[in-house]
Amino acid sequence: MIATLGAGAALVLGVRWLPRPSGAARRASAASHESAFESHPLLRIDASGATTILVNKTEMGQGVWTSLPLILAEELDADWALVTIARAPSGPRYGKAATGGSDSVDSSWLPLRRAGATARVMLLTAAARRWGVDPTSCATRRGAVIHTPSGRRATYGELVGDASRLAVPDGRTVPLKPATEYHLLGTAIPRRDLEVKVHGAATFGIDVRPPGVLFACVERCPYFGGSLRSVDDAAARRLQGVRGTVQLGAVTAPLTRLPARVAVFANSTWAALQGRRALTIAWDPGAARGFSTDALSAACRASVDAEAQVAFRAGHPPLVIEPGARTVEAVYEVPFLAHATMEPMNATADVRDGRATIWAPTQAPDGIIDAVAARLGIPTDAVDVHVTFAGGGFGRRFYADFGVEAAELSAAAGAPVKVTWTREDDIQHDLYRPHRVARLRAVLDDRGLPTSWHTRLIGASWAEYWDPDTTRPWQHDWEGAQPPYAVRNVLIDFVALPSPVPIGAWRAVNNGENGFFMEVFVDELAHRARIDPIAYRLALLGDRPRARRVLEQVRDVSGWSRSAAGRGRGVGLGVAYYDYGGEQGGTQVAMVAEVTADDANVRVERIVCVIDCGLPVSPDTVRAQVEGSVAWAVGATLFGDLTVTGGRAVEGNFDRYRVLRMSEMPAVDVHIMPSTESPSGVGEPAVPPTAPAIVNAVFAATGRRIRRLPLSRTLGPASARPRS
Amino acid sequence: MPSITLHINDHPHAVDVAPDTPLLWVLRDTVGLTGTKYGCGMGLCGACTVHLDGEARRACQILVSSIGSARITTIEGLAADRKHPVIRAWLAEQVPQCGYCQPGQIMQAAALLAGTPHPTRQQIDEAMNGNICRCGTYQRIRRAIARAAAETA
Repeated sequence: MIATLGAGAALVLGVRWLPRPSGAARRASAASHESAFESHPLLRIDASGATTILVNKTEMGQGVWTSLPLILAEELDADWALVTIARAPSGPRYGKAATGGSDSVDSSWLPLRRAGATARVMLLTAAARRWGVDPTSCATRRGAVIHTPSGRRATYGELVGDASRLAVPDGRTVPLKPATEYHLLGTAIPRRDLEVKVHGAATFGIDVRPPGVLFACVERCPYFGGSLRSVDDAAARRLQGVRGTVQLGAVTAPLTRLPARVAVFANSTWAALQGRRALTIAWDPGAARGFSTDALSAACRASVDAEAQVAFRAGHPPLVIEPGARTVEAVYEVPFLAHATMEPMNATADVRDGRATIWAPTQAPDGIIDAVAARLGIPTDAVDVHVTFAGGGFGRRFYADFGVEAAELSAAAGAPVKVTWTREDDIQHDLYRPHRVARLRAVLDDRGLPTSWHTRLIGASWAEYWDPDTTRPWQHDWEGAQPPYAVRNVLIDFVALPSPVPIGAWRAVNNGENGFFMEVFVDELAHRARIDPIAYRLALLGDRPRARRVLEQVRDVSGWSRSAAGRGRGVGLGVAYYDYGGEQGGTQVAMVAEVTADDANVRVERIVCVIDCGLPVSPDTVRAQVEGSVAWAVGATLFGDLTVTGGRAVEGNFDRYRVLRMSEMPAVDVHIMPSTESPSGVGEPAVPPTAPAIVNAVFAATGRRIRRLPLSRTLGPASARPRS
Repeated sequence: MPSITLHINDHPHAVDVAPDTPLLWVLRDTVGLTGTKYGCGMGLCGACTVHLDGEARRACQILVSSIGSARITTIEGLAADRKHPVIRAWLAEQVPQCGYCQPGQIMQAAALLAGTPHPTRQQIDEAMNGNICRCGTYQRIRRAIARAAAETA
């Protein structure tokens, strides 16, 4: 079998189930199960009382498998011990499946509370009618309705029939619990996905294996933007277990960029890998041949005064801040960063009879549906996506490339196909956090506080990569670059330089690099003003009480004041603050890093993080997400660096693309601000302050201001010492 | 192809695979034990850690033809004992996030504790340094190992 997949595949419309009626008048008994109560697509209570809550977001480590059902169960007054959790199917009926931007709890908060409260009201009403009593004399508690005066009790399971015959009230009208009555939210509830995970029994995408599946590995053009010149697959096809090869062209589809490729199908992953190794391929590097990250860096630095597009303006900022006695200027640089999720990209597809079924560890099943439909030329409702557990996401799995590729290969093979990316495929065909150079300038007043602020960003632009026809920078390009501080005049502008390197969402998206520039620069301003860096920030956050509180708290719990004596003698504390989503309703993070450092080495000893994320739905998960965000960002700060020479990625595996290991893990202390406000995200907000806190701590320890990441580039490859 | 007999989790398995196949892919594709994970294929990340006669080894670096009669234990074998102190400690400390690397982490930790029942913090870091976790659960892994060590005192 050798074939080139054409644009259109055979088209046969399958019959889909019809959506259920919706709206306030819908009766819960519209469900086909009279013996079960289903007042909401994500909830089902059986006559036994067994309660199933479906999760419509991807569980990739952040704990939604527990935190989302917990919200519904709280308002339902469910018996948590009777709750079973399962993944919702794909489809609009189950709500927005895309999982990213740390917004799962935030965006689900009100809908899930209303779903739980609605069901609770119906069950309570059913009991009151059965008993012929006033509903206001009834209460609910742990999966049962109780008639308070008489003590009569009915479990939810006993009420499912009666409750199913009631009209579903409008969720906006049902009363919600005050936070003082929560008995699940804010408590120590063990995660529900961990038992299978510690037993090796959790199904990740890479573990999916439908009957008759072919195993595929794919050689992708290593040159960004290159093409296939020729392939000789004779040796590969002679190998035992190899079943065929196929050439695939470059693809542009929603959330999808795929290079020219040659795939090998086989009876096992190992045979497919061997077959792939036996291919002889000539690639045409194309225009990217001369591209390197060194050249991009030089071009960015040479373009700091080039014409820029205005992204954001407030007040009356001078378009050019002239150097002078009151002006502070600094130029920073960050590299491309790969995601390197522990589970490499993979997907399994079964394309037949005009339909496509995809199994994938994806953050965006809807994105895969759109992209696969576009690629195969079938309607979106002919594509089903089964979302598995994901072995890390961090933004990489928001893209549809791996799902589309599996569908292409199944269509070409006429059989179910499972595609496993090697670690090298995963790192060298990623969508990287963009490389950036930034020049920041500020004019200080008599007190040393900034009156004008100009951030100029230079480099590879999201708009350039994803939307070449656009004339303006994408918001992603400058997201997080606006200072949360009280500065009268602010200008953010952007110089976009061409780069063939794929760029995409990387945990905290562009808040990571823009937060780094901003928070190191603020530290430089504080130093110039001879003001303590925390006091300096507090002076600029007068009208932001939540921001002030996290900074004051981190000052008090980190030993900040006591540490002044040790500074400059190899030990240093650095601070950073980050506003993720706004003073109103966003997550506030203040962080202090403690490092030991000298001219050639740095060791991150300790990170103290104070987070205000509104009500902590699951406090231990909040702590885990902060610990994880810190580990993620410490590794990137110390040595994250994806380089390109001759138009292709240099690093391919964990030997050269270094990530944090246990001996480099600092102690992380997490302090959660008590709050009963609506919850906000916790998966990303502790990422942006980590790098600047470390760099500011290195300055405190050594007097050396590092403006380029990773630190290993500045301090040498041995800069991160294992503990001695 | 000649059949090779492997002793996995106390059961013999006859497999027909090329002799140069790494144990990792035999476990996953041939035997169907998918708890052992692929992470790097170069022995750099530890996601495929199994026990060979009780010793922690990277399954991606072991050719199936080299195993002979050595006893192989995978996460499924270890987890068959639901009361295994390492697994219980992992749950008590709520270690996993995405969970992908955790079978390898658990196998590595179990081998460490079998040989060094009361490891120091430095011994823990050294033994676990080859097992990468991108979710950053290292601090909890340290705690879980200390807990398991204390419980078997």
